Amino acid sequence: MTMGTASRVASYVYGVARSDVAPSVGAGVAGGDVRLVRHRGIAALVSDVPSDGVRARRRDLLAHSDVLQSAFAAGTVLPLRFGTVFADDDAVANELLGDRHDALERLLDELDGTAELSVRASYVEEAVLAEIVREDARVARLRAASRNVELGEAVAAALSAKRERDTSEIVSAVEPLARDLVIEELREPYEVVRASFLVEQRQLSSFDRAIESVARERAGVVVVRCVGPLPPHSFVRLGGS
Amino acid sequence: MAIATQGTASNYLQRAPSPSGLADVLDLILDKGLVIDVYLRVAVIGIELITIDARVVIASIDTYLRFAEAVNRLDLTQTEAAGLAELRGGGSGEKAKGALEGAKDAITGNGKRDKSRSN
Repeated sequence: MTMGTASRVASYVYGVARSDVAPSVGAGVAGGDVRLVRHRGIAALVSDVPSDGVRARRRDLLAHSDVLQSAFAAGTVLPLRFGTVFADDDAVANELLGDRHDALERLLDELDGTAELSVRASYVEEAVLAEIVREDARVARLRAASRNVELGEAVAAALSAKRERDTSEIVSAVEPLARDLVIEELREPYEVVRASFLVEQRQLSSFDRAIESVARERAGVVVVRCVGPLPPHSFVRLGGS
Repeated sequence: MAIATQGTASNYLQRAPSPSGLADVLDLILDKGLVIDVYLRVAVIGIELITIDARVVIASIDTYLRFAEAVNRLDLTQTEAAGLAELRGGGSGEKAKGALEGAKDAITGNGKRDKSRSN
């Protein structure tokens, strides 16, 4: 039991796990200690925040991620989106763990033994442009002729064709090892792919080898970044939402 | 939190066993995760700068000129040698049309540009 009537605090929730999960160590969002609110076999990772709201500072965002990461190291955890706050622990127990009990339990079962891997790849600007000039006669011609708008347009087209190939190379290299995947929209001109894969723990090393070998093929032109194993942030969906 | 703790990095692959900075974390915890109706949602202030919907805007004169400028800057004598090794065909000429189409798709419906840099 925690202080029920302390003045003006609310319960910030990081995620949901089974109730035998070890409470995470370290400070959470807004510096609060992380505790568990348990209800019928499942538990929410919770800490106090001021009830008039907290700001999302850099360290709060990292704290949210760290708490989930350390719970995940001990077992399956369902991450909530940053910034989910309930009035108090009773509300967490009733409105989150109670009302959605079966769906949460089902989701925990489904995601047991899995992890998310986040893969991002980007072109090395100079290298990919040089490749385009070499491969694309029209680009080379326009460059020589200093016809800049047409040149830029031709480069954009060539880059986009190249991106299509490289994206599918990377995705198809690891897709067979994943149970599910989400491909994100790209945000920068030289990005190649931004995707998350749901991978079974026993497939992690195969996944790693596959990403290593596909990345090596484009060494010098593409840089791949692979983060994880992470809690399955991108793969938690309660029916309907 | 600094460099990817016990991660490995080569010139083609960086591995981070856990998120090693805000850039790794932002998308995951602001855009993903379970969304539950709650008593209150934390005000996420100042984050828009980073999560702003900056889709790849390829088809504008502006971007074309930027690509052109970057290509004109290239010192090809330097990159030529490196490239010779992996001349593996894959004629890019005929792909151009399809790619433009793709670029168009990526752009339609969204011309938002990042202009909230600083204030």
